[in-house]
Amino acid sequence: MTGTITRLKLKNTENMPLIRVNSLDKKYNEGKNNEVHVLKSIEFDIPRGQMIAIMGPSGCGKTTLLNVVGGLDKYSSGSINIGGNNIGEISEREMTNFRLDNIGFIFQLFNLFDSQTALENVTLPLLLQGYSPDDAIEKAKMMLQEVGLGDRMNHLPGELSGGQQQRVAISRALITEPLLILGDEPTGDLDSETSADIMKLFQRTIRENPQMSIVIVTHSQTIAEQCDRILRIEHGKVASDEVLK
Amino acid sequence: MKSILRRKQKNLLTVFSVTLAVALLVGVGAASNGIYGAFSDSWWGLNADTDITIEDPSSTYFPSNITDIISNSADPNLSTLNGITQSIETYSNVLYSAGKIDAKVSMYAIETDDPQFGQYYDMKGKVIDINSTLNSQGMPQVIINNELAISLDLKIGDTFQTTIDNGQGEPVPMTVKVADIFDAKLGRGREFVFRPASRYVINIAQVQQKMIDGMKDHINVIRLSFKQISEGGVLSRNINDLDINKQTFPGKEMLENAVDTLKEMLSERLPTAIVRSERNVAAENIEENLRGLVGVLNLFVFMLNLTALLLIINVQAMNFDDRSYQTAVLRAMGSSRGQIFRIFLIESSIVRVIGSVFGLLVGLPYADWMQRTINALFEMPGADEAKATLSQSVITGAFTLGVLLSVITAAIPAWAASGNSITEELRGIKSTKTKNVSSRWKIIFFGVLLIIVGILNASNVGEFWKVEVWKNIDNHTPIITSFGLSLSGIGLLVTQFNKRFGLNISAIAILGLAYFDMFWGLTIVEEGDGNNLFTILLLYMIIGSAMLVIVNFEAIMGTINKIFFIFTPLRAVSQVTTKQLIKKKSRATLLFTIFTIILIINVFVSTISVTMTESLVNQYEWRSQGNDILINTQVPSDNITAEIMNIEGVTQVYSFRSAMIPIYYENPNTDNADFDINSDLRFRQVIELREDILNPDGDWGENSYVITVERVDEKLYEKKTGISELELMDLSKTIMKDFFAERKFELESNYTSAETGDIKIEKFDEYMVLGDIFATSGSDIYMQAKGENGSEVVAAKQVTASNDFLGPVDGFGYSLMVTPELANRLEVFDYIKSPNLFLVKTVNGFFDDTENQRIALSIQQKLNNLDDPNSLSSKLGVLVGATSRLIHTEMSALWKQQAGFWDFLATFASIGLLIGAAGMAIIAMRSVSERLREIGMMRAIGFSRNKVVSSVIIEMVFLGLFGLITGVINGILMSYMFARNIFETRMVLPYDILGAYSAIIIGVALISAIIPGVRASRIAPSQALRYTG
Ligand SMILES: Nc1ncnc2c1ncn2[C@@H]1O[C@H](COP(=O)(O)OP(=O)(O)OP(=O)(O)O)[C@@H](O)[C@H]1O
Ligand SMILES: [Mg+2]
Repeated sequence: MTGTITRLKLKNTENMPLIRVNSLDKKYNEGKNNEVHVLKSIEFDIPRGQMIAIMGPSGCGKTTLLNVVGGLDKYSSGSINIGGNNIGEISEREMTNFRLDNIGFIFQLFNLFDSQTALENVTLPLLLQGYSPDDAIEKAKMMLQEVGLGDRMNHLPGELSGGQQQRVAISRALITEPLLILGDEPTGDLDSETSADIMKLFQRTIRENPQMSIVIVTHSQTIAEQCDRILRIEHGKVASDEVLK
Repeated sequence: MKSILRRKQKNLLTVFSVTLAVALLVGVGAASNGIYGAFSDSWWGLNADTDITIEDPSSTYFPSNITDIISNSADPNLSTLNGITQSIETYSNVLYSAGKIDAKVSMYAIETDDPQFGQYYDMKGKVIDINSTLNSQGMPQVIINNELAISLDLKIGDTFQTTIDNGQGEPVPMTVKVADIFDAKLGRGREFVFRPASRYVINIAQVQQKMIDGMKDHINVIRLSFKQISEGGVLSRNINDLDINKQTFPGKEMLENAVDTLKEMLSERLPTAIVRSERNVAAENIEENLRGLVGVLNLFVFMLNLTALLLIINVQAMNFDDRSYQTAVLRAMGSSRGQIFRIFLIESSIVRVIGSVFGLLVGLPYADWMQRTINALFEMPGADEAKATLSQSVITGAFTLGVLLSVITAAIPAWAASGNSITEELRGIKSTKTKNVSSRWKIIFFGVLLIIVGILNASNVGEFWKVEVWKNIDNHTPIITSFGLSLSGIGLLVTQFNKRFGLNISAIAILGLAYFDMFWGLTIVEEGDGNNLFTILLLYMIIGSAMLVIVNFEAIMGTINKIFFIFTPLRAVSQVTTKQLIKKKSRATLLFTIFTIILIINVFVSTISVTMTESLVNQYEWRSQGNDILINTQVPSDNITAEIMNIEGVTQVYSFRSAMIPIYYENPNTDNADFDINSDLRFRQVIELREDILNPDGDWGENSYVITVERVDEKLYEKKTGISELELMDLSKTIMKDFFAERKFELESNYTSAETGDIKIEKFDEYMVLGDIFATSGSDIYMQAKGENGSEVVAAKQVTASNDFLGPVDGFGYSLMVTPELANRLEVFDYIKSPNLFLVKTVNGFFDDTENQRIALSIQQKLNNLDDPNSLSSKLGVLVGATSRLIHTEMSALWKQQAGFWDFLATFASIGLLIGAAGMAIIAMRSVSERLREIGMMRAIGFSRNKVVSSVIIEMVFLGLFGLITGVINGILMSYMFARNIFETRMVLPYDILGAYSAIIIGVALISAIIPGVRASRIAPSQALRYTG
């Protein structure tokens, strides 16, 4: 990697779980009279090589949890440790680079820059990492080919189907070979067949990269059952933690 | 209503842009109204109740019994004559009082019993009883206007001394007493703006008393007054009845007929008399005189309003752009297209009416400011107390236009938004229209139509391939228009094969035509006034360059992206930003066009302003050839030269005889049907040059009076360009030698007799005269001279080569220099036997105003001071009336007035920058707020805060830079063209101002990007991601 800014190293990579969340609390509008206590003393670990589904009723705090874990939002108390780094203690700037190198996000809708082609969307993280344009394009092409979009690379998101868009988003998330993929209802908008395809893609990815973990939020039991583990959240608390495989 | 409040920020910006636009409309409407108003008011007012004036320029005075002939006439054209009065009027009189001197004084010697000509009012607004005041016994009593009272510090009861003419050109001293002070802005005291500001009024009988026997009943002006409509006439003097555009007013025809009748009536007794109605001349000329000025102003206004309109459209389009999702939801819920349209229209109209009201509130003081500035600039009376003459029509017009524009600009996108495809909007997809067969045919139809219209238009011009045709500037507009149309048509047709190529053809054709005319067409122009050409060139430049950028926008952005890719940390940012710019191309183009227009205008105005300043000041230092002070005396005397030479610091004095005489551009012979007294007659100063004075050593060497030559007529002298100063000096000497060689031409002049229609051929004596901007080099001019058997007309060929510092008090550069031989044939020099005009060289430099002023004052004191027994005035027993002017000071004043106009335009044009800034701020805010989700995404995948901000900065800076570059380039090209072709000088670029513009644009871009950019980057990415627009 040819990054120009000093980057955080993952510590104790072998023995520890990739992520350890400890008594995590998250309140919106803290201290104001419209305070919402969303996450309450959440605790869980994510070992490497695991694909976890997070389920729970609407509004229970799934998206919030994902955002907090990915450093997109701050939390109120507790701690989140990723690869030996407590993300509450690192600077905004370090967090940004940490995200760039180690975390891939996938959202439910409008995942892509709609003014950029599929290929360009996928090259962006590489360009940020300082890849040369040629290398970035080369790598992105391979990635898109892998997800079956070899013939759609120069299309704009508006010209792609929902499933295709999602595959582009996944390609963009995977291109930096991150340790953690956070997907907020990545299949939420897709039919069951396409969803299954996407899930297969995740499974293959994790098979090929056993160092990596994938966390997805889903409302679908079918999707959840294709994961290694299901974490249920209710009223901001972990209601159940069920290992499937 | 709720939704208006909710969308507070966006609506505020809309209100702001509408406010700006309406304020501009009001302000500028008032300003152009104001220019016409101020001029027509003063032109109209000067005549008070005089409708026709009779003067005889060939003889100083004529017998007063002419008046009886007129008043006894029974001619029906004079049937509504109300009064007739005789007077003696002089301009450029000099007054002396207790060591103070005023050189710009006019004397009105009037009859005291002619109430038809209006009243004089004192400073309290009370009518002055002329009859009792001016008929006193003993020392003559006068009334003076407040301007004179101030300049000589005169109070009622004070006395002052002056010199009047004894009827034969000899000065007679006269001491008078101030009986009252009248208001220069009221009633009959009001005066023509271009005549001297200081005035005194005296009883004509008391002036005639001082004249020699046989002249005691003589006068020099007769004035006629007619009955107004209310008194049973057909005439109205009400300024509101004057139609400036149609150049007419009630009674104009009656006055024309009366003028013809009077000419006929006087043709034997006073064959050389000028009978004319200033009122008619004013009506005909106000529009013409101001057309250029108002034209430039209106053009600017048009351009600025265009930018304001673009801004509104831009805001509007964005409004509906980011609400299209909402529309789709509304429609999905079952609202009809009409309902949605109404909702949007009502909402936006309310916002715009608010904007229009604010616009009026801002516009009124703005208009007031414009009015004052214009008045001050053109030295209109009462510049300081002027109020914007806002006609109701301007206010209602601007307001209605503001609202109308807003509603229209709201309606179109509202309708479009209401018709958007529901599904596509819900998916967030921009509809990509596929070209269907009918639109293809439409384009072909338009293309062919443009070509046909273009060719039809071209047939008006005829043989555009001939250089001759281009020599008339009036042919340029149709040629350029037709080529522009045809070539755009061709471009349009080509789009059917290759869109970008076709549009590029149109763009380059339009731009190329403008440049072609500027750099070739205009350089060969010899005639015509080229009314709309400037506007067309400007429009072509704007449209052409805007098109060029729009058509190649993707390619340009691609190139920029490539350049940025050189810098590793900027790659991702650049990729996001350039693509974002391409996506929002229409809005980018609008902003770019706004900036282009604004910058062209601003760069042009400021460059011309600086060019004029530098070139004038430098030019005149060189032209002055060491001359520093100009002295005029009212009394000619042979002693003056020696008196001046005796003053310390004076190194050389050249002395001249000079006088004002009528000059004609056409042969004024009564048979010449082409001669029109209103346009062909000018009073000009003629100056006699004598070789023994100008060339004291007989060698045209060091001590000689050297004229400078800028352009030389090709017929008389070989035309040279790009020659050195030394060569020019040599040329000047050649011309001087030639001039004194009594160069006399014989001219065969033929003209058609009005009576018989025969072609007569007459021989004139033709002389060579020198003059500067008076007339085109090489042109013929005519003057009345003494012939063998009485008065005859002589012609002179004018050579543009002079020092134009010898002009009358009111302005330089309008004098003609004649040889002693020609001077002796001009009757006026019978009375002026000695020099009355002196050019003085001092030991000081041209710019040393302080020292030169000291010397000038010493000269004035030495010549005028009646309290000093050694002064020339005391020795001669008459006030010599010497006034002095520093050439440098006069030149600076002249420059200031010219530059003042351009400075005014610059200030005015810089308002455009406000519009640009507003546009920039609006777009930046929009760009950020509607991309909030995208910004969240950027942060999620690893863009740092700084990168987010720099993305917004790059976007804005590029938008600004596009406008800056095209605007500056076109502005400079236009200035270059103007400097070379119109002002005939070298363009001077105001690097500091250009730098300031660049800094302002970049600064505005940075500020408008950084504020919302930083704010957005501070929002937690998780929040930004929740944003749905
Ligand atoms: N910015 C905010 N300010 C206040 N409350 C918020 C904010 N964002 C989210 N919430 C609240 O936090 C709670 C959790 O929201 P979150 O989006 O995490 O739910 P979710 O589990 O993802 O629901 P869904 O399944 O519907 O996506 C909700 O009650 C929501 O109203
Ligand atoms: Mg959610």
